[in-house]
Amino acid sequence: MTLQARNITLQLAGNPILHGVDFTLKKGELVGLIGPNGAGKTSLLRVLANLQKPDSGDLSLNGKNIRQYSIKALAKKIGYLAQGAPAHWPLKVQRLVELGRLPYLSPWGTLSSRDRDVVATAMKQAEVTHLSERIISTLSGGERLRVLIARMLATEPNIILADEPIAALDPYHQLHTMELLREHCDRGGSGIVVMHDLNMAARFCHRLVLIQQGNIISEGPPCNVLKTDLLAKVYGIKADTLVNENDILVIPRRRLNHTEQL
Amino acid sequence: MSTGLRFLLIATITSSLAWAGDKPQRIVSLSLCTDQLLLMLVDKERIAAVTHLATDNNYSYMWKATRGIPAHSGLAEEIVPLTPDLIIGSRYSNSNSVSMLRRLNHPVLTFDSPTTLLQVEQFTREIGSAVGEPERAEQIIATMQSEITKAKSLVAGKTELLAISYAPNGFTAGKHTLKNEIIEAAGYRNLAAELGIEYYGNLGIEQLLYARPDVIIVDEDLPNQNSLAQQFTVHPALQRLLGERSPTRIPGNYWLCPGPLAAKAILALAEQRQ
Amino acid sequence: MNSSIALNSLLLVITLALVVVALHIGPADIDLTVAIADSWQGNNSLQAMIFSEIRLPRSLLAATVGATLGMAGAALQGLLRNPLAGPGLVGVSTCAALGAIIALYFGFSAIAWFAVPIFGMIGAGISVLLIFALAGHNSSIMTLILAGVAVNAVASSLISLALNFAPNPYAMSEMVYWLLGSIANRSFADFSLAIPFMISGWLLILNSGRFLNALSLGEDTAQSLGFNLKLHRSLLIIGVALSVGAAVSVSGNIGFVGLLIPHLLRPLVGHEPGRLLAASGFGGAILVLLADITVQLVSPTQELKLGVITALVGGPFFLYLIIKTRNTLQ
Repeated sequence: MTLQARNITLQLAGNPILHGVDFTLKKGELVGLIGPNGAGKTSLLRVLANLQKPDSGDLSLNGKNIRQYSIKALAKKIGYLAQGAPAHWPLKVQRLVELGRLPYLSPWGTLSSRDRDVVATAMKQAEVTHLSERIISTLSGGERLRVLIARMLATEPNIILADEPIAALDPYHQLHTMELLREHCDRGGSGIVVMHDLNMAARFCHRLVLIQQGNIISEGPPCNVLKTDLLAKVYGIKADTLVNENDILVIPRRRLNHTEQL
Repeated sequence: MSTGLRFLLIATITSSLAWAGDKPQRIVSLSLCTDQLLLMLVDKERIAAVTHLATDNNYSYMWKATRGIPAHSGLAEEIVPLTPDLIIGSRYSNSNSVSMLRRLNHPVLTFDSPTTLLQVEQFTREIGSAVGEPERAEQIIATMQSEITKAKSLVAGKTELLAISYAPNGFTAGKHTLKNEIIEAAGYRNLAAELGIEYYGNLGIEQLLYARPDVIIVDEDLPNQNSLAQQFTVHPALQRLLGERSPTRIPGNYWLCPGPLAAKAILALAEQRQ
Repeated sequence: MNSSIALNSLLLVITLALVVVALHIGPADIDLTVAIADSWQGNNSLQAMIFSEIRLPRSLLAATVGATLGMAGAALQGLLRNPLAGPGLVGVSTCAALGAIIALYFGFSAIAWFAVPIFGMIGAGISVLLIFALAGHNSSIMTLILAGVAVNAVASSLISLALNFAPNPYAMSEMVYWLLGSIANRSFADFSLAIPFMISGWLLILNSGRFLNALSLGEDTAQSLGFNLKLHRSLLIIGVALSVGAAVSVSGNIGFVGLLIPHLLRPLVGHEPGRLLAASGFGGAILVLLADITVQLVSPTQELKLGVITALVGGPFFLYLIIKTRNTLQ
């Protein structure tokens, strides 16, 4: 499945957020959306998830304009993982993951046996099966996020859009989460993940998209995007990079002062 | 204050007025009940002011007679500039105004509300002599008596039905009230009195149904008036209890104020005996 | 799902049992079986009359008004994702009362018989929109309470103003009724006037169960699960306005039911906002029936307002909630 955005512009409360962004997500691809705070990453992700209507520009899925899909049909194709892993009531994990099946339920209908199988598989993939009887609010941050990923997987989306999923996690759970997203893409899905950890982004994403003030500054394989001059320009930092075949390591050294930035 | 003492006081004031050589010429009344009697007793030229209520036909039988007479809302500061030479009111008239007016040396007379027909006559006579119109008072009493006699002849020999007066909020009148006498004079037994209600009380609709009155007496509907209180008297259960008959309706201003109008209420009730 | 059915069945049985108890209680000593038999056969006996004209409408009103308040409380709490949102606290009931008061005392009910509930619903609808405008849909508990205080204060003073200027001698004394709530001396006409709107509101609310479940994952996630936020939010608000507006217009502002009931029942439905709706409906019915029975037993002449009982139970509970959520308030 291909998700394509063309010439997207967006203003929020009078402030320009996105300036004519073009973006394509291909099958099997995991794309890392990076950039400084306030660059417009979340806004772009919400536009791509059809949660935010852009002021202008086109959004298409498999070559068909997104408006031709019903909101229910889109729900089955695009999964969205909100920032901060929100869960407002102390729900039981099993019930929370089952919410992922909502787009598939007939009016007043209950979960079918296939629905239950999908939920079980999703929980297994996210390794939360053992937590099924626990209450979401009693879980650790890593467990909680995995439960919400399981919820998203239970919707069987082809495309996954995740907003800063690993920001609050320890390295073990960061790796676990990124592995889950990568596995989804390896199974033929695709995904966009907003993140700040450049090394994790480089390690797991096929492609990085660097945005600043609503414009895409650079995109391509991690090695091509994570260049010291670009990092200086976009983030305002002095960073060293270590490149070793396919791997790249970014080591932020210090903030640049004003004259250096100019 | 005992009745005797009060008579003495009135006698003193009226004699002092008589000694001044004139009837009071600028009379102010402080309550609806004294308003109505005053309007019956004296010419409007001698009335300085009545209450606003007296001008409202929902509450006042004499509302037409108030045309051209200033209306006040009971505040002393409205009344003092009228330079009244006599102020009459009920025992329960705005007591702050009354004591203020007394401190300012205005002659204020207050009267107990009558609770029997005999007291109505007494009440009429007292106010009649206070305002210097004892003959008109006697005429009013005579009219009253003839209306009551007529009413009694209408209901003579008819079976005694059980009746209840039912007002908004389930308000009803029991023993020791003028309404009780009115109902009995019209040839009914008063259910509220038989239920042991003394003075006034409230009766829920279920209690009313359970007591099974033959007749329910309600005030005539006021136009454009609706409230939860008033929904008591139009509750569908009352109509179902009465079956084919309809509730007995009399104009509210006949008996809102205990006074000589009681005779009109008695006659209206007697005429509606079904 | 099965546990849901079991819980709701249990609550239904309790509700029905309390309706039967409430039918037994009243100042008149009547035999209920005789009364029902007479009513059934169309005998116009005293028992039948008291049963069908007084006690049945009163008990049915207690149950349905309670159900409305409970369900609306659960709906608002789910919608605002805030355990302190109840129709009383955020001002929906007060605004509904204001609407009903304007219709009743200023002659609109004489023009159209349905004016009182309609005005009540308009009042309720306006208040929900106000709360949304003031507190937003991602409100903190503090903002929501303050918005509720503001809406309640304005609506209460408008009620006083309206009753003060009402061309009716009884208006002022009925302020207590509207602010505390009571179902005494209501007739079947009142019940049949309100019930169609209450039922329509319930259906809209119950139909929003899945939306509220999805909303527990946040608005974006709910939308990504195929829910049109604007549409579902509007349907729910209309449901609350219809049912609460109609209920308050025949019962006044019975407080705390919508706050208390969803709270007590939430653990029993695994905190799922969707499952909470029906359960809170039954729970609300149970609470108001219990309060009405208490009122009847404590003061048979019905001088005591029903809302006093729910406030006596609900007030301390509200304080407990404040203490419990004190940390999140800061």
